[in-house]
Amino acid sequence: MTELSQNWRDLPNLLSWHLLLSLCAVVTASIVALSIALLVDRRPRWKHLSLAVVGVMQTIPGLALLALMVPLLGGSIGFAPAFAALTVYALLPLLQNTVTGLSGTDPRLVEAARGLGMGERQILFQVRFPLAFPVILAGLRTSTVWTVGTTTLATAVGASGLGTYIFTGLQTRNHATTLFGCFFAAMLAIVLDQALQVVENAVRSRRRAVAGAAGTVLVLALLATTAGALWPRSVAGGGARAETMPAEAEAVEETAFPLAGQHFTVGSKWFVENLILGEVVGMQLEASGATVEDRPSMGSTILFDALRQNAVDCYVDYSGTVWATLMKRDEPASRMRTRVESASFLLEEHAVLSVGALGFQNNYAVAMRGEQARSLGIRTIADLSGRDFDIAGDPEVFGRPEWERVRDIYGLQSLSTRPMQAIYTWDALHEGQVDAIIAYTTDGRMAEGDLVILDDNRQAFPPYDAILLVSPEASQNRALVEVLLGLVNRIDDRTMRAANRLVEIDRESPQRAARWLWERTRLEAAEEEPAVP
Amino acid sequence: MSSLRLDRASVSLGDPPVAVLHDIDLAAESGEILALLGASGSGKTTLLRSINRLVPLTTGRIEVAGRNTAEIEPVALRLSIGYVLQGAALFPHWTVAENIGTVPRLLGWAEERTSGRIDEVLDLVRLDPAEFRDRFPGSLSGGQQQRVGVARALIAKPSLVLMDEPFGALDPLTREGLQADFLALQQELGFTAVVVTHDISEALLLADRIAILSHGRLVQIGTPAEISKTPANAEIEELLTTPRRQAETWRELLGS
Repeated sequence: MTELSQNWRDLPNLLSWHLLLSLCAVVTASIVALSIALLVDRRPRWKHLSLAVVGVMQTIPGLALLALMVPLLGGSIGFAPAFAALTVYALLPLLQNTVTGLSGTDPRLVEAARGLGMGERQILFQVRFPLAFPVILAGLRTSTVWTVGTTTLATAVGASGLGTYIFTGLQTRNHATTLFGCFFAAMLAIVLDQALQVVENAVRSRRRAVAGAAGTVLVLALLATTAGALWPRSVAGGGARAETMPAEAEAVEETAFPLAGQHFTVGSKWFVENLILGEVVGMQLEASGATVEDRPSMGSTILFDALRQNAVDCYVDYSGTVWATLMKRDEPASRMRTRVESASFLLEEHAVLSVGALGFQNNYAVAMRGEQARSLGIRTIADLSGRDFDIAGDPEVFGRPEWERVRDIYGLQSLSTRPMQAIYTWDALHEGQVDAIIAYTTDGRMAEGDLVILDDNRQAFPPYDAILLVSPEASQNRALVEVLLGLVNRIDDRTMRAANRLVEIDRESPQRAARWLWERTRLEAAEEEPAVP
Repeated sequence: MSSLRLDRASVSLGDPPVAVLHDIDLAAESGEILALLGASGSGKTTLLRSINRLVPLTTGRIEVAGRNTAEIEPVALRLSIGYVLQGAALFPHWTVAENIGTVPRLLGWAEERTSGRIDEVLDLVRLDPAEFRDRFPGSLSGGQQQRVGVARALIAKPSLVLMDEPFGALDPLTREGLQADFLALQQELGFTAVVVTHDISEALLLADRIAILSHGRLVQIGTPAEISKTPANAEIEELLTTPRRQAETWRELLGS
């Protein structure tokens, strides 16, 4: 119930951003496609070449194209890479239909136009283009429907939109939220498609007044809907955590709200724990008077790049991830050494500040069903060597240097890997579809059922302390760092696991789990720090 | 003065070039209807299209109203010549009035002048302006479309009108009505018309003179009477008997 009302509350903002992003992409793609079509008109070789190039770009999977745009645009995230990728994606149907439409003019009409005394430009703009218009409109419809659908993927590069529901819902196994996002994305596509259909039919049947009126209504409706996105502060800030915002920031003392009037962007990776932590960081900042924009469910490397480029102000990463993925280290190291060396590496190499560790570690662990492990006498990861087991893990882990290291150290080449969303690995294990999984030690399901965690006695996996990272620019903001220090060492393994459990097993929203977690950190802070005399 | 004069006009088309017209000498007097008659592939349509420079001459020259067309900018030349196509070829996205107003718009006429003139030419082709102005070509019959096509060609009062099988692809009754109306109109306005046709009956009925083309060459030119009296070759003689043979066939069929 609260989950649904939360979804409804976020809807105007996410819907208008979704629409704005889709529209900008489609409008830009239309302009580009028309320009290309006019340039290659009457140049058959160029015509084929341009269609082939655009066709090839279309075959790049949407998610990959979005991710590729981040480095191509110098690491910026959010609207820009999403817009660029979606524009490329929207091109094909537009270009195809424009080229086909222009080539398809009845040659007798071109002959008539020329014979009556029209120049080539006049023939193009007065005869061929208007006659191709219904075909071009059909291309616009296809392109619009595709783009509205693909825009749901833009969440992965930090752009707001209906994809936020889908990504979050998938990750937290909250099907209602996923369906909520799918439903509105589909409705948006259907409504736009039908509206354009009305315009197209009116154009085809030469009812100019109807076409003009329908077109105007459509444009006005779109402007009105996207208007919501043009006031991001008032709407975005009032989204998820509205109740934690001070009602009248200016009326309150500055010491109580040291970040009053400041605006921050907080990112999170695409898994439950990190989503929760992103919310917690947001709550901490808003409690100090700041407004916060969320960039939830982003890809890990995209998120780090965004931080480096100051496109995101802070997020929670893990020391072992920095150690293995960024520093490319593969020797075993203690928890403290990993933390210290990764922090100094981040500062020296990327000017990224590690404010501190939150207190808990979320390590990788290899888990098996208890009865299977016992009957085979498996106790350590080394015991898996040489067995033809299936091992499941999230798609990211099998691509990481940590897994390569574990595989090489323990000789696990005989295992077949089964990448899937982390949340489904547990079901796969319990249902016997796989023999082992790579789990996270703070996973809420760690304590559930009959499980055995295999010993990593050669320390193949590095330790993963949750660390709070701040972008180069934001780390100059002492007030911000002060506020974030309030979260350092406040969350232990057990508390984090309990918060994850709220989402993973009790099916609460990440926001609710975050609120519970954040309130715990406040409680402990109050107990530890005596009131100022 | 001759309104149109072709002087050893030759056209080659394609790559490699194939000769389509060979050394055509031809003249049309002012106010005359000249029919270009020939089988398909005889070059009659190419001849017509070379007059308004839709196809370039390879050698020779063409004069319109005493001026060498090679020295006139093609667009300006075409704007000064009326052009009627087979099946009318009206622009389907424009109303009747907009179709007829094509040339005035290209010439930059004032709105009022164009509008008044559209009504005039609609009257000339016997279409009620009030009823037809705002209709789209798709809602007109073939005959009505061709009347609009003629009106479109005549709006700027050209002294020369080129017509490419204007009354082909119409049912016989419509065709007869249009032919009669066209003759009356031409006599009233006095423009010179060059009409391409493959139909000997149409040529005999409409033309002051008939030019017969075969394989890109002009084989005979003369009044209908001259041609039927002394056909230049056996082929033309054969051609001339077709209307009579048809008439006899009909009589037999209907009489029995």
